[in-house]
Amino acid sequence: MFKDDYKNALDNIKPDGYIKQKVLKQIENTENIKKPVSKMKVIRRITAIAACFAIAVSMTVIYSHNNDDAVNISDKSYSEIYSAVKTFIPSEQSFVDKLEGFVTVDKDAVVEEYEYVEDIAVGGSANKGSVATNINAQKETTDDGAGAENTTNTHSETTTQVEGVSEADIVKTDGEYIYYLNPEKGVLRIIKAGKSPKLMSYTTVISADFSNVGEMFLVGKKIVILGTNYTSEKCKTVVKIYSVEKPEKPEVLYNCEQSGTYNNSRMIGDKLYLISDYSLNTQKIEADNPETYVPSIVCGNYSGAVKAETVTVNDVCSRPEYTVICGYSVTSGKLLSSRSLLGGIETLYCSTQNIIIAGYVKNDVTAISRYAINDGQIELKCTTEIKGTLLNQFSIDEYKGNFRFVTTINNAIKRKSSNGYVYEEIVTNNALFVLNDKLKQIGAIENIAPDERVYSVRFMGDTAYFVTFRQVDPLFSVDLSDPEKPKIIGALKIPGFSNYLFPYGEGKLLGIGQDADERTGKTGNVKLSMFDISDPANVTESAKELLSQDYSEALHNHKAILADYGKNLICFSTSDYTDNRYMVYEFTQGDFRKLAEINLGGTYSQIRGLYIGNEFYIIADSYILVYDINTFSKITQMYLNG
Amino acid sequence: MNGTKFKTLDFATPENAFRMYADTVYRLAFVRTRNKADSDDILQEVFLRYMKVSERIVSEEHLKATLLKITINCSNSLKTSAWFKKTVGLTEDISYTDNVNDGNVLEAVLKLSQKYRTVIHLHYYCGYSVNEIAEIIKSNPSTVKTHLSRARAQLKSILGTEDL
Repeated sequence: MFKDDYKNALDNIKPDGYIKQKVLKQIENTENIKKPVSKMKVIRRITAIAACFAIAVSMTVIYSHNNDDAVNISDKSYSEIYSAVKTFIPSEQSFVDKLEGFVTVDKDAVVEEYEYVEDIAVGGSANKGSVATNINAQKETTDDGAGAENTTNTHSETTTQVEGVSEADIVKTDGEYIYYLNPEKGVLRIIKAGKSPKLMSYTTVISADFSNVGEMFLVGKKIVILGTNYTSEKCKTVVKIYSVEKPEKPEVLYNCEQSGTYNNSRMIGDKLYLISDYSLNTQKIEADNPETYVPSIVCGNYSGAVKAETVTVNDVCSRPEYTVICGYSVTSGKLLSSRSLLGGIETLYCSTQNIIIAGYVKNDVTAISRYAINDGQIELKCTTEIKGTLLNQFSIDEYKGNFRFVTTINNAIKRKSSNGYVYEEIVTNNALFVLNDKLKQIGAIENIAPDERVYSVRFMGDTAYFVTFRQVDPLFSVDLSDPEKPKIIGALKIPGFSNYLFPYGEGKLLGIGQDADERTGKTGNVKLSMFDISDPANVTESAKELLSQDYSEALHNHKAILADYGKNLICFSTSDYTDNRYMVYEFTQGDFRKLAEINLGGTYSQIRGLYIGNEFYIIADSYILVYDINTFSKITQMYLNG
Repeated sequence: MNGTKFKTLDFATPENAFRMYADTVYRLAFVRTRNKADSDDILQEVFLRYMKVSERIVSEEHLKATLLKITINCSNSLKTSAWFKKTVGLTEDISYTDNVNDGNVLEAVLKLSQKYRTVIHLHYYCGYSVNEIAEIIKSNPSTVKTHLSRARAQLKSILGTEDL
């Protein structure tokens, strides 16, 4: 048939991986740039601006929804949930109406945006001076070496945030086998590690309609594969638990499904916590059919819509979207408990006892909810709101029963350009909040680094480090030993910024980010920095290394970097227009030393490195490369074909 | 919108939209421009433009239609760009057969003129009805119908078959 032939012929027509990466990076960058808003929008938003100012003037920042353990956002019956959901059902709209006015492209607007970007880059920062006044330099020593997660393992682990809580990735190893999930093709490969690796099995684990965003866990002899199944009807997050007792023939043990797209997951012991976002199709809601407006779960011991009592409705939610949190046991494949919260999720933080879900509400307020987790049981404890938006999971931390947050606050200010064009400029500043276990604010620093936004955060016990950026990169250190009186104790300004900060041995903090022009703020190539934090009040950049390529997956995914202090290895992939490289550095005698620069050529979406014993493995799409960990001379290279 | 600023729905964030529909957008761009370099440019441009409207997306079907409509707009404006006016393109035989090996059918479609290629692609690949295509390419349903039937007739003669 012509139709099928035509579809098949088009299968080969695909953008190159490099182009995809470039566009994704562009999307990421542009999203973070202040955009001028058209005149009409400004008028519509005036009330919102007023509200913003009101918040800015009043010093009360946190609105706590709860007093004690009692949760104010009470559990509902199905009918109550329906009435909450109903407010989102839009009035009848035809296909024509929906498209109307959407995409009539205003060419001038596009040009203006580019000009404006330029403008930001060249413009000086008038508010710079006020940074200094906030810095209350005080000498303080911390002996807390938190994050000393790097022991002398015989094999590497996925980079995680919290010790004892594993995070999913595409490559896992148990020291004997390497498990590699190719999320684009939905193929699980099991490779026997060694000087000449052997492909044990090649299993298609997920079907074609699976989204290419998938990850997995390795628990004992079980592989847990997570991903989203997009169908025309509904999106489902799918869990597949494979037994890999026989590596040559992995077997499916259990299948579980929950509504929504895969958002994030954590594994503590053999308990899987899986979080998905479920956007309701507001056009298909039926009052007498709960399945159309609450999430559903299909699992060995449960099937159908979630129980009404496990659903909570956040009174401030702004969109018809559920956050579904389920606890599963990997050993039995059973659902242990589930919780659904109407209101979206943006950032997930998980410690061994708590899950923090942070979601954007509106007017630059983030809703925070705390769930206590224990052996698969999930219980909503309290909710609150904080000002500003969070960067990523590293912006949240739990320490000694308190929760710490670093946010960027956007205040909208109406401006007029020289040619009379009115736009709304977002003026940012940053804040750090300390909340207790009831999510009540007990301490805060506000107005940090006006006009900049947070690029990376790392909490290490009593000290917090974070980087803000506009032209130069101040690395702030904050003393949190008295949670009620957090103090900025140091600020180091260097060109460029770090996207991630990793503790690297005693008194050292490794930053990976990008270089930037001090004058214009234009970003350049990938840059490694080593900060000396032995005296948090006087942090210095003790070494830096500027790479020749301008993109690395490690800039937005902390799992793509392998920073192992025990083995003294800092490994990640970089790419530019022509090829991909895998970089291996060590840090000796106060400087970075390049151990290897492996040119992989071609285009790959994700490259991972790992070591087992004395061999270092690089996995890039269908290839595995084996190197000697001491000399980095190539041992072998293999094509992993099924 | 009731004065409330909706946050972009999760599936509609530019990043998710890109992950889900990059290939779809690219293929339409390729069918319209017949070369990969222009399609690369269009792919970037489409998602930059999309970022401005992402918060107004209400459903997945809507998302797809919006992206396709932007793609059509972008490939139109490519023709009016300074670059396009000032440069001489490769002859079509070279540019589009590159990287197309088993595509007898695709080659046949690419031989059609642009307006015919577009309706064939939207109908057979994206599965849109005549009315929906008219919405996406901002045209009249009866025009679309005519284009579609003429395109089919030409395809039949190129491929030498009777059923499509």
